[in-house]
Amino acid sequence: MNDLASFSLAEVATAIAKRKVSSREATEACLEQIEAWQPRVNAFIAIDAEEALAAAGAADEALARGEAAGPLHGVPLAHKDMFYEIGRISTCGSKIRRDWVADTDSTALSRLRAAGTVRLGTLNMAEFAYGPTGQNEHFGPACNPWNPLHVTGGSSSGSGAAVAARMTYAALGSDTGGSIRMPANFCGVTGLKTTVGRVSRAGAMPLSHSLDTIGPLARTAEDCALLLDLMAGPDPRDPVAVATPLPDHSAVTGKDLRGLRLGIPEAFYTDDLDPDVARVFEETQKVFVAQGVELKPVHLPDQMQLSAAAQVLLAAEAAAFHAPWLRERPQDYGAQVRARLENGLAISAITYLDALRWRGIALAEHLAATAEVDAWLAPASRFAAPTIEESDVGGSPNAEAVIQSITRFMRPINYLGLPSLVVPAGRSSAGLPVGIQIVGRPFGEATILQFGAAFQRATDHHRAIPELP
Amino acid sequence: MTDIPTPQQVTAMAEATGIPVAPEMANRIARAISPALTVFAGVSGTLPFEAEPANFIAAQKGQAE
Repeated sequence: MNDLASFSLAEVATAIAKRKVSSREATEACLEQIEAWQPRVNAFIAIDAEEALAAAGAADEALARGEAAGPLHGVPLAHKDMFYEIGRISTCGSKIRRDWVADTDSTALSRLRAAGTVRLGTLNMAEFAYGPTGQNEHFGPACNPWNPLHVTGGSSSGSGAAVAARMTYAALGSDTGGSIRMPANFCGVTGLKTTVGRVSRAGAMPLSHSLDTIGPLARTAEDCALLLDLMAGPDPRDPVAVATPLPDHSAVTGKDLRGLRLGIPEAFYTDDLDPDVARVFEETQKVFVAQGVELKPVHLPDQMQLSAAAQVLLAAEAAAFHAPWLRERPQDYGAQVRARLENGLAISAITYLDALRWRGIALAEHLAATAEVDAWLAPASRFAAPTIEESDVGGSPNAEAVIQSITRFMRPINYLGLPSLVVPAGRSSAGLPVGIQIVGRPFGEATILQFGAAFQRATDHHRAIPELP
Repeated sequence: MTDIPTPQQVTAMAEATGIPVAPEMANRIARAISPALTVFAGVSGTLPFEAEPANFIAAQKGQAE
């Protein structure tokens, strides 16, 4: 492997800015990784090698003239194929939009582009971001770089696989029911689900307008902070992305944790864990204690009710977005996505509105329960990545139950709109990554990034790189 | 109280949206969503009369860091 591909986003951005390496060299390093790994993991939907090299060359020339575009000048990146760019195809992982050309730009992506990034191509994803495993009937599944027989997690499947295999320095994902955190967890990378309202969703494919959030998958918490600082903030094109105090997230990643308090849930997130996950969760707590963190048990309100409410919102809102295509092109959906969209047809207006009306009450109750801690810790899932075969339930009658099992520790956090950072924290006995999530208060990304960065200074799980056979 | 629809009600709701569903599909949908709706029923019957969706934004802002 080209050593340059193993740099973090912050490292490669600094190296390019100081002209220790060129954008072209960094881009070539990524393209070498893509050539080696794409046949094995199917992380990309489109690879634009020539365009990337040309853009990298232009970035190098601009830098030589003293014209740096921004903090990510010349850094090659690829993103989940649902962030629109005017004039470019955005498939959204679907047959329906296989040739659809966007007529608007994603705000989040535009802000990264303005910071100087080079475009490598587009990344695989679950069809219309509606699936937690990474399977895709139209473009084939993205496969886990640690073992291609296992799922990546979804829906940001290509983002997880590509960052893990060092095919890109970072990638954008979306998280509506765990779609950043599941692939980060299963692929062994760092993923940040942002607070609802922190990053504009304008120009990103919608799934559930109440639950959708945009965030990065990257190699470190520091990288996530760097990307968040570039993307966050109000946007007149997204009425939910409003002005709130915007801290310097990158600045806090160097702070230590002495005096901070971390909540440990008494139930639900600690129930029925696979022994590997239970071991990693215990070891993670010890790492934080060694850094001066006080652990405090927290009694969280009924998480199953939160999960059910999230399911109601997601099912109803996704069905509303897709109703025209469900009428006109139902045969063009994959079986599982179609079945899940059809589930939303049976949610009554009153039930849907009750799920919206309860949200503020539930958030207030949650915040009261966690008032004495700065953040709380939970496993990202009860088990490491399952195999593609065992999770390939298609549109079968038990599909929803399997999906609920995989995303059990995700949905309550989506319903509450909280930020959550997944960091790699260990390995299963089969050698698969196991992640933990650090969950914060609304707009508390700075605190969870501080926890994550300190954890990564004390451990090296995030440095582990999968190898080709 | 949350409505937990029967397959017949699923058929009627879907057709009202202009999306016909076969009987086996209606059965599958009813089975798929009833666990969540059953759990959520414990909440929706308890909501205060004045609760409204925008309370979420208020709760977010009130407790934001």
